[in-house]
Amino acid sequence: MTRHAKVIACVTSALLALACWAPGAAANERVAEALESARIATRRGDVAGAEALLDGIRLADATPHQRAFLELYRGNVDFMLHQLGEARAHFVAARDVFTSLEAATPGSVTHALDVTAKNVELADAELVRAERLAGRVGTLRTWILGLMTAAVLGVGVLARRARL
Amino acid sequence: MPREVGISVSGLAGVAFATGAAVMVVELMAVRLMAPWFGQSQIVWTNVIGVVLLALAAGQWVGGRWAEGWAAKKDGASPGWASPAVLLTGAGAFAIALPSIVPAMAAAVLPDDLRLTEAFPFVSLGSLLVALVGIGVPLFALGAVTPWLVRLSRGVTTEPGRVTGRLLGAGTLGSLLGTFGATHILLTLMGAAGAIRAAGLVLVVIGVLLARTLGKRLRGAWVLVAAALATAALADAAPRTSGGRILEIVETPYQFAYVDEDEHGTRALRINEALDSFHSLYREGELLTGMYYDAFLAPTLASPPTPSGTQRVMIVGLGGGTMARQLLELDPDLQVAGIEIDAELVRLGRQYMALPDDVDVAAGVDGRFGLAASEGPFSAVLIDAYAQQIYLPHHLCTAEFFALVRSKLVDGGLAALNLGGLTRSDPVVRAVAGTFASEFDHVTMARIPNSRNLICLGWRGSDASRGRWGDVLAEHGLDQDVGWLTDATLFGDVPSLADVEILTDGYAPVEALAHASWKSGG
Repeated sequence: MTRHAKVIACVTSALLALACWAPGAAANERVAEALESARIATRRGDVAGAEALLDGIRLADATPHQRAFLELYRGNVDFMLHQLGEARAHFVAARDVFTSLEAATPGSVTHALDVTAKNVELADAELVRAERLAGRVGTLRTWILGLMTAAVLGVGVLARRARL
Repeated sequence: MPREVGISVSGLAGVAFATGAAVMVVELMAVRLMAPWFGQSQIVWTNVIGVVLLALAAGQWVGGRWAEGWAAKKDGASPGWASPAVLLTGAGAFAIALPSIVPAMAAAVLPDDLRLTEAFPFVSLGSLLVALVGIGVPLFALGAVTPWLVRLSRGVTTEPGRVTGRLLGAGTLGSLLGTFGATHILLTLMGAAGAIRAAGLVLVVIGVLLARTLGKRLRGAWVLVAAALATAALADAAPRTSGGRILEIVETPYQFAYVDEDEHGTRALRINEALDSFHSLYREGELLTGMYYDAFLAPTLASPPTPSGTQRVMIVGLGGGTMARQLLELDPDLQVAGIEIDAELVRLGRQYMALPDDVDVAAGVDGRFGLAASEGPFSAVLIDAYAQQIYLPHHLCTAEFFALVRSKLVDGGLAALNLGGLTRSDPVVRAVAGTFASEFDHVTMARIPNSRNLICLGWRGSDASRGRWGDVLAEHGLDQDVGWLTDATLFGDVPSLADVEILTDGYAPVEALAHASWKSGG
C-alpha cells in the first residue's frame, strides 16, 4: 500500500467510525436527558410525566449504565404508585445490572448499587407488610359478613320464637 | 276495661321518653368513643347511623312479634313490665360497659403500626364491625321496648291510636333532649364515656324499678348482671396513642386530641386516630421541624407588605401554631393571625408548643367563616386545614373558598395550600390543586421533599415575590434546610383545568376523592 493509500484508508476509517459513533452518542445523550428529566419529575411528584419520559426511552439506545438507571427510576415510579410487585422487579433488574457494572469497574456505581439494594429491601418489606394488612382486611370482612349473617339468623329465630 | 296496677299512659310515655333519649346519647357519644381509633369522618358517621337504624328496625320488628306472642301464650292477658324491664336493664348494662368494649374491640381491629395512607379499609370496615357489636346490641334491645309499650297501653286505654301517638311523640322528644343534652351538657360535664354511662345507668335504674313484677330471684339475677357489667366498665381502656410520653389528653368539643413528647424532646399535637400523622410539631430551641411546615416560611416572608406597610399573614387551620411560631421567630415584625375551629388546640399550642401570645387567634371559629369575617388585606394566607386527618373540609377546598382567599390578598399576595399526597396524579391533589389554580393569576406546585405533602402556591396578580425567595432563605439562614425552594425544576404547573372537575360548594366529594386516592396508592 502506498503512503497515500494508507492516509486515505486511515481518514476513511476515522470518518466511518465517527459516522457510526455520532448517532449512537446522540441517542445516548437523549437517553441521559430523558433519565434526568424523569428523575426530576419523580422528585416533583409528577409520576405521569416521569412515566411518559421513561416509556419514551428506547432500550437499544441506552448504555448498560443507563439501563440500570432506567430500571431504578421505573421502580421508583411504581413504588410511588404503590405497585410494589412491579417496583421490586424493576429494582432487582437495576441491582443486577449495577452489580455487573460494579464487578467490571469497582467503585464506578457503588452508591447507585447501595441505593438500589436498599430499595429492593424496602420493596420486600413493603410487600410483606401489604400482604399482612390485606390479610387483616380480609379477616375484618369475614367477621362483618359472619356477624351480619348471625344477626339476620338470630333476629329471624327470635322473631319466630316470639310469635309462639 | 280493668286498669292493671303499675301501668299508666304517663308511665309508658316516661319510659318511651327515657328510651328515646338514651338512643341518641349512645349514638352521638359512641362516635366520640370510636374517634381515637377510627376518627369521626363521614364514613364512621355513616356506619354508626346505619347500624343504629338497622338495630332499631330489627328490635322494633322482633319486639312487636314478641309482645303479641307473649299475649297469645297467656290467653290474651296483658303482659306486665317484666319484658321491657329486662330490655332496659340489659341495654343499660351494655351501655355502661360500652366505654370499655369499644376500645378493646378497636384495639384488636387496628394493626399497631398502621400508617395514615393505609388506614382507609381499616377505618371503614373496623368502625362498622365495632358499631355492629357495640351499638347494635343495646339499640336492638332499646328498639324492642317501644312495641312492648304500645302493647302494654292496650291494657289502659280504649284509644290505642291516641296513646301510640303520645308514646311515639314522647320517644321523639326524648331523642331531642338526648341530642342536645349529650352535646351541650353531658359531654362538657363528664365526657363521652361518662355520658354513655349516665344514660346506661338511667336505663338500668328504670329497668330495675320496673322489674318489681318479676320474682325476687329473677330480679336479683338481673341486678347482678347489671352490676357485673358496670364493674367491668369501671376501668377505661387506655386510648390509642403514639407511644411517646403523653403530656395531656383532652376530649374537645370536636375531637380527641393529645400532645406527646418523644425521647428527643419533640412534641407533637395529634388528633383522633392520628396513626403516624400529627397536626403541629415543636422542639424547644429549634426553629425548623424538618417537616412540611418549613416549606411555607420563605414564600410567606417574601410576600409583599399591606398598604399599612406591615406584612400581615393569616393562617387558616392554625392547630397548635407551628407555622405561626416559626414565622414570628424569623420576623418578629410580622402580624400573624390564625383561625382554628377547635379552641382547645389553641390552648394546647400555647401551653405545650410555644404558640406566641402575639398571634391573634380566632378560636372556635370555622375557617371559612373566620376568613370572611376577618379584616384584610393580607400579604399571605396559609391554608393548613385538615379534618379527621385525611380530609380537607369540603367547604375549604372549593372554588368559592379560594375566591374568598384571593379577595383577602393584597396585589401580589400569596395563597399557600398544604395538600396531602405523594403524586400530582393523586385524585385529591388533582381536584383541589386544579380548583385552587382556577382562582389565582399565577400558580405553581411542588412536592415537599421527604414528605407526603405538596405545597400549592397561588398569587393574586404578580408573582414577583417568588424572585425574593433566594434572598429570604439566605437572610434567615434557611438555604441549607429548605434550599430546594430555589430549585425551579421541582416546581411545576398544577393540573390543567381541562383535566379536572372544579370543586364547588355544591359539588365537593372529598370523601370519595380520598377513597380514590387510597385505592391509587395514596
